[in-house]
Amino acid sequence: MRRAAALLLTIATVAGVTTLTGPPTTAAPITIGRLHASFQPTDGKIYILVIGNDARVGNPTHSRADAIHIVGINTKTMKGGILNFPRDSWVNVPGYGSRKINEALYFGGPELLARTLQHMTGIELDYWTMVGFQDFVKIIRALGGVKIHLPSSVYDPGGSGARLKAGTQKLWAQQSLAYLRTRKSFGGGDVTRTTNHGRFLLALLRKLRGEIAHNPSSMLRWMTVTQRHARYDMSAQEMFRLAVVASQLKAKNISNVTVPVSVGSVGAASVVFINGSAGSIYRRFKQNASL
Amino acid sequence: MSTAAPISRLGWRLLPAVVAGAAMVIAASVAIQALRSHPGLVSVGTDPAPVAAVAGQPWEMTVFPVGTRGGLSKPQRARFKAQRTHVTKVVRKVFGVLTGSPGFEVTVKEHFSRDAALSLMRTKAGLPEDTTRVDIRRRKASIGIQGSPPRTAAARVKVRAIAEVGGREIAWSDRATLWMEKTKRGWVVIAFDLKRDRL
Repeated sequence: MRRAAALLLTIATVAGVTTLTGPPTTAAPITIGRLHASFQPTDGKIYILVIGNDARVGNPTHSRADAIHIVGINTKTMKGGILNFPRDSWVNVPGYGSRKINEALYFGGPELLARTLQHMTGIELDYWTMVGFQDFVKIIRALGGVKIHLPSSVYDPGGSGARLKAGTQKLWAQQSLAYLRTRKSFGGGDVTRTTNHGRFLLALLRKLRGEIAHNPSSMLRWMTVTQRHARYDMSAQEMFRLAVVASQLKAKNISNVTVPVSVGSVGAASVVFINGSAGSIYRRFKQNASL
Repeated sequence: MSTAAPISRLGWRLLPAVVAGAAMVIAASVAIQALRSHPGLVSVGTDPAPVAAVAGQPWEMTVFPVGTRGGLSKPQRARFKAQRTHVTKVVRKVFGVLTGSPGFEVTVKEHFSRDAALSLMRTKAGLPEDTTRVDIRRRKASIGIQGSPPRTAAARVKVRAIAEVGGREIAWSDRATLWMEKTKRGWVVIAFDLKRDRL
């Protein structure tokens, strides 16, 4: 039996060595497959502050922020996250004390809003981009609408003017704006609205990827539309590189998370207080740029 | 019964060692086979040898400005035309060396960003050394250049070719996207996506 076992071990070893050193069986003479290289920032993490302000017309200076999101991208894992902040969040605005977060934009523009969020989350923001109502409509019109799945119908004829059925559909510019402005027809009010903003950003990403798969040059059109209608603090080269990164991101790898809040009031103002559990979300987001 | 028992115990004692040894060998073999069947994953020499005879159909190139409303103004058109020449030259050179023309390493260093060049150099994207002939059946490029200012470009490239490698004829197709930007050293590919299929 000992001999049998030793023989078995020898056979296994010899067979293994033969397999390891033998010639390749089906190696293709020409390399077949997919090669890929994309732009890599130094630390592999990018954070962008996305702001929607409430300026109806003209210059958005001294407007308030209706939509506040930090978009994180991890270019090593190709995962990311959208962290949404309700506009009524009661926070410490550097230099102005405790206030609603949307007032930071009014007092100090996107830079102060970015500082407020950095102070609160510990996340260093690399860029910001901002659109107003009219800018947003022009962007969506230029892009030809956005296909999105609505989990429930949205009906707010007296407020935003939204009359949308549940299901997957294409929203045109004014419909998109109405959808993103709607809050009263949702049980969660502004918190649901801010989550919907994140959902809309993901729908935009799906559209971008779909168009690029068909025609890569469409990315340049998106850039031109953004440069024409949005305000931002990045160079054309940085925007191009970010767009290249975005084109490689799958929407299913991006989480859409709204900070946990509880409803309250300060004086006569209705506000929301960010829960202490948000701290772990910030830490995770800072570490991975995904949620 | 009494004499058979110790021998049987010894056999059972050796069996785990035999199984573990065989399992390790099999796992190593599978890993090596996986690398062989995907040679693009294996680091190889950086500069493939040029092929002696490369013949091919002329390029079918479409170059157009992107993101300009109502066409280009006269100065914009002049700038676009000037950059068009440079961008098409990069596309021709890159796909020239990928299909056997000489100067692989020089071209990659000249026309790729550092990261993109490293990605391409690490893979066996050129042709094998024993390639004796390449016949390019079709090469087509659709290139969009951002209209104003013309500093970024995206190219969709399709190439179909046949090569004689070690006495065997191999047909393949390349489908690629090149993302390019204008830098101080000219137009460079900052990112790419190349899919090479056997036909």
